[in-house]
Amino acid sequence: MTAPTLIFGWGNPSRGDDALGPLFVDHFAELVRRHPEWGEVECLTDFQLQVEHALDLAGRQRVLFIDASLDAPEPFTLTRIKATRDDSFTTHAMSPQAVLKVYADIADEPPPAWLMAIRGEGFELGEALSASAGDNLHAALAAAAEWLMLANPSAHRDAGTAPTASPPACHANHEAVSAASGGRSP
Amino acid sequence: MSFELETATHPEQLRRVAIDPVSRVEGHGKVTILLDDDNKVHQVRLHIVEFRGFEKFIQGRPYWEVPVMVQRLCGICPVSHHLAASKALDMVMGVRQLTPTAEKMRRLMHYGQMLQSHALHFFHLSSPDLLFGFGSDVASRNIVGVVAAQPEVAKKGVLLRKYGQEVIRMTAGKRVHGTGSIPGGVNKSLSAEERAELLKDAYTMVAWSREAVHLVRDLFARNLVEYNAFGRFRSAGMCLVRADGAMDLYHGGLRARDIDGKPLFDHFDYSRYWDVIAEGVKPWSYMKFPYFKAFGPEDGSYRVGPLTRVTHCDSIPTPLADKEREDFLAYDGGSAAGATLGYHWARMIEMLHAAESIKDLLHDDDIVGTDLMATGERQERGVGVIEAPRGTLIHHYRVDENDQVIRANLIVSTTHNNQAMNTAVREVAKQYLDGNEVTEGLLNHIEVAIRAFDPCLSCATHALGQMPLEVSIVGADGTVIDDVTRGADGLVRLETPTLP
Repeated sequence: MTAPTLIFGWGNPSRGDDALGPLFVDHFAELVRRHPEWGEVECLTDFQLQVEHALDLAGRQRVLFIDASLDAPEPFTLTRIKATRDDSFTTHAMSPQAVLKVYADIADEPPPAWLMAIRGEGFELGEALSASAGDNLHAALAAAAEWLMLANPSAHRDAGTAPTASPPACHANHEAVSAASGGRSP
Repeated sequence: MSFELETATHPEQLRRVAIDPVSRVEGHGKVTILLDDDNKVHQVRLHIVEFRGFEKFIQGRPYWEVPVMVQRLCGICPVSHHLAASKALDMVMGVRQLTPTAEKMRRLMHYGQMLQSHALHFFHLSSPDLLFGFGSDVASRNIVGVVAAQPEVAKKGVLLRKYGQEVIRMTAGKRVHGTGSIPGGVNKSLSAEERAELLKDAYTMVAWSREAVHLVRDLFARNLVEYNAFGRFRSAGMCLVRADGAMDLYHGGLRARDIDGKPLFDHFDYSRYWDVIAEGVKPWSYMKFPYFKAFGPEDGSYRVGPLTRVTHCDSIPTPLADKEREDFLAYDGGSAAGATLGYHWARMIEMLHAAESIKDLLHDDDIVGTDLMATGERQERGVGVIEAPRGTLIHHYRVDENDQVIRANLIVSTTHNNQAMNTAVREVAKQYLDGNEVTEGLLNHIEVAIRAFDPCLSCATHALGQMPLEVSIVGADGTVIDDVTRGADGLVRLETPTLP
């Protein structure tokens, strides 16, 4: 069964603060495991948004997109977005609004969607997450937990409690690629 | 010495038009054009801001981590880097022959990458130009325009892409940052369930890929004169071929032909690639210009990728794609095989080959085997070469006694095509811009020529707020004469500022 809530963050984990999207997804997936009362939540990540990600929207009741941003004020912005034709479909990397538009054109009315743009500073290959981006990520995780409660009141009701999810600590050093996750020890 | 239109005699007296960045191209590309008062073209250059931090990123890492981490060099073709690095590090481990299961799993992953990459490029990045015309209204010249005009074409493009991604997920173990290929073999084979899941749609993907070949063939038929002439130039070429001369996108020897199509070298052992190719530099470009040593930096440029592979191989080892190759080579006396836009046709033939190969591999019981790893005698150097979607990709590493990479050299497909892309845009500038008033539609012709090569500029940084298109026409004194801007709404505005 398709999870009604989709969390989709994108970025390159090895390009400094571009890792904000995938790091958010990693941490939020852990929060979801600790809070079964939130219901079914699917957390997905990729390097970039592309046309085929429109297919990930099928059967959802709500979608939260997460990306790093050079323009957003600190620590983040959370904006309701709608299907829009913009110029991003002219590149290999699409905007979430354009992905919603593709879904609307090839399938159906897209689910309600929000974009969380987390402020980042540096995007060079091999850089670690900046300290300020780590702080922004922490704030964004807390806000996303609140967003999920508001967007999905039944989760709140099922738990019988006020939202109390506190995000895990966000470590700045995400650079190492461990043998356990990727390679084989010789 | 430089190529025609590479360097103007008196650039200070000319107007400068910049296309920055080039759209529907990964990363950052920029074209500058110098025009005189009569709009006659004097200089055209494609500048690619190539990132040269690969080596630093890799050096000092344990070699067994490299196939995973190199995927982060590029958000567009991570699987190509994953496999090229694995092949290079097979050599470091002294493995000369993978187990059948390991080789077939890697090939399956590679064909999945080829399928999804070619589908994205044709259906979503190039078909708007081809379906609506190079100079058509920019408001509809995009994938959303394709969806509106031909929804079934666009939908099949999305689903072909998705299927390729599923092949990658099941062979690499993860949707992104896969770990399936490791030095000496693979760490997983397909489960029976995964095999059955992929087989369900395999024949549909073959059928749709064949339709795509016929779609581009029909587009050629309708626009034969324009397509054949567009950015046309003669070029040498290089690709891998199998021992019998057949197309092999995963492994083989290097085959090169000169500008007249005569053999330059064949079945050359790629582990000594530096004996036949070198990389030149030009003061105006960050990206290097590889060339065949036999002809030197001025005459030795070549091109790589689908058009070269389809025209240089003796056959394609899957029947439907081979039939399409024969038709392509014979079409209109072979004219399309020499056209820059022939890349699109060749790319779809390769997509069909990838779909057929996926289907065949899924019927091969080795794909669910359990013998995953081979071993050998440790070496200090390894070279891995594959035919990535955009062309020949070379990874070269030296590893010290502590298993750390101490030297890395990568020559990516787009670098091989640097001179060829520059030549193509100069030809198009001569054909379409020379003497004409510059418009967005005419400038798009330049971009169409670049997109034919599907360059991937290995950026993968895409923070919100980037990727506009701005074209400025600047007078000799630095004054902006015209501004062309493609805004967030996709529309282009031409503004002429009031001069003081």
